[in-house]
Amino acid sequence: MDISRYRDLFVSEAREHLTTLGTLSMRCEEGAADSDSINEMFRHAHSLKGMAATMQLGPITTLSHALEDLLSQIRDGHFSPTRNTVDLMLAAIDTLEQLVALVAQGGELPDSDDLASRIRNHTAAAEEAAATDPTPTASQIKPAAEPAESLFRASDENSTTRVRTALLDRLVTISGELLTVRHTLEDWTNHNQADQLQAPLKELSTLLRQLQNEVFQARMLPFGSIAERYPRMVRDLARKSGKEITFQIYGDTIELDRGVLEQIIEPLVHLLRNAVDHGLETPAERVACGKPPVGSLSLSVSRLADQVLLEVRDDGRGMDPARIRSKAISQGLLNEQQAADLTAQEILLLICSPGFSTAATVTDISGRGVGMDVVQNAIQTIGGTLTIDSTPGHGSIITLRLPISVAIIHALMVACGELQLAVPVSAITSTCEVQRNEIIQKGRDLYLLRDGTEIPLRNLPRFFRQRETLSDNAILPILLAESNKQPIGLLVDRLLGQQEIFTRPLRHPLTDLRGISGSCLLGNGQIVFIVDPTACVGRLCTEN
Amino acid sequence: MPQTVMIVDDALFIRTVLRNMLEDCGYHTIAEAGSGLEAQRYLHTVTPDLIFLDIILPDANGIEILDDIRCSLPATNVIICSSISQEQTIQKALQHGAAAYLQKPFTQETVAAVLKQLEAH
Repeated sequence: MDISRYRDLFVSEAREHLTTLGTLSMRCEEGAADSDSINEMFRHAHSLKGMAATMQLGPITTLSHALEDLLSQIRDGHFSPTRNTVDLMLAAIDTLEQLVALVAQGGELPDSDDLASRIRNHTAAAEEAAATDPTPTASQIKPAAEPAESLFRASDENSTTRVRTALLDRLVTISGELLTVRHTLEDWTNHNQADQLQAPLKELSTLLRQLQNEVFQARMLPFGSIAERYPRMVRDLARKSGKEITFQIYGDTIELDRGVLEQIIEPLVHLLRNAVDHGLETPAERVACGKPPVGSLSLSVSRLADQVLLEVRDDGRGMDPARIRSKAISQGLLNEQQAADLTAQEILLLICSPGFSTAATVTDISGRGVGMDVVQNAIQTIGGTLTIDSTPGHGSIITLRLPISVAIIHALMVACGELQLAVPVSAITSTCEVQRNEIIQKGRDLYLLRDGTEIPLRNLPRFFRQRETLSDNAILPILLAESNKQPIGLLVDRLLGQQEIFTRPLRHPLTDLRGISGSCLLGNGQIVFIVDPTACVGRLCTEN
Repeated sequence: MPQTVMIVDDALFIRTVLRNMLEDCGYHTIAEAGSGLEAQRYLHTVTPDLIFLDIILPDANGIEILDDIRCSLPATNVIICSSISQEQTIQKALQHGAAAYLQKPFTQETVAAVLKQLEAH
């Protein structure tokens, strides 16, 4: 019998075991591993060994067997895990993940004997030490060599998801009912009984709405499905930078659309990395400021109406608005007067300006590293916002407000010449209609006069090559948005009203269209492009 | 009538491989359980001729489930299927009434041999 036909099943189940093993071994290090956790880890290693042996995958069998033995000795109380023990467990789990990835690709497996025998030697030495001396020996508690660069599993190349059977059943039922309604409609159309169509049409709409809701449910995944990678990352970063950190995740059962989840993996890596590298201090520095030596870092998720709130909170050195302000002025990002008008929170957000965050010295004064502009852009792309709170000496809180789902959004439909476009409502601060004489022209640039200030305008019909000049209408509609906390306007020909749209990403070769972030299909079959105001506006700022 | 089987193992992979091997030997799998609790729930509604039972389960020890099955379904044969190879464990399983002990990793041949051994009785 050809066992290789079970490869995909093996890979998917082996990965689940390894993910759980990884999460539980982090608990071991924090000293929070009770006998239940150790027992559970043992069981996962044991299952993996059995599966690998059945698949005749020698290196995976050998290594998971060594891990299983190590765990069984801990479970039976023969010794307690030290940092070295946890390092070895994580090394084994990393290697097993790489081996499983090779299985997935159909590659040859290298042997795992070296690591397996290191684990066996460790098990034997630890047992012996524990038997002769009940207190841990110096060799056991000294920190292990610098951990290898962690290998996080690249995002699932197959993008598969497991769907609850009950949910699939409901989808099947609704599809079946839709089919019945279709037959009814066909039947009556054949007999020309037009007035009879009202009831089945109404039913069709209801079923479609239900189907849509259920399909969206199927896209929801708990935050924990992406959060499992972070404890390990924070641990490794802390070890490398000589910091002691307790890291907590709250709300990992809260569900988000998988599209949103995929988009926030990297921004969260960045925020956590910044907090460890630049926000939190070394134990010595902390003690010198009268803080406990171990820093605290948390990632919490909560639901707020139709939004999800993500908070990265640390009790590190915090950021100093005064120093950020003077740095921003010296970088020429804004002048004294503009800086004076900003609130403390707005000043902290300056670290998200591209010009500011690329400055090499920024980490020294802000307690935050480079790349905050990238994080902010990523969050804005999915219709979210980022805010910063910080108290010098006490730490920082970075809050992300995200939509629960990205696929269906509220959009404002606008006309620009021949084009109909959709602008996400979340990207607009307000709309207004102005007289032609409120718009002033300086060279090719347009400005809207509002309360004595000149708001730069982007003429969307010109941007999308519809027409060079302003429209002849006496009243001109404008969408107001914000770029770097500065108001900015988008001039359009007509506002057509608000609509819920189902967004579809653009594919090659359309991905490079300037100012366009996606598309949607209207009920009449018309394709409408979705405008990304920040992208249009960003160019405007540069031009101005 | 083909003999009916229930498989109790926490790994879907193992259950799938074993089910297919059993089908090839002419046995029909009527239930699969991933935990002791799931197994007990099934046994309220189905009575298989044969049960393949793992020892290390998330919520129970297979030997304890074996004791329960021997009491409630004395006509059902139980084959313990585990990667534990210690003689002590094998003897314990047999003493508690297991009809056979199938060592993991199993192959089509070892599965067929265990079934043959059972049919011979």
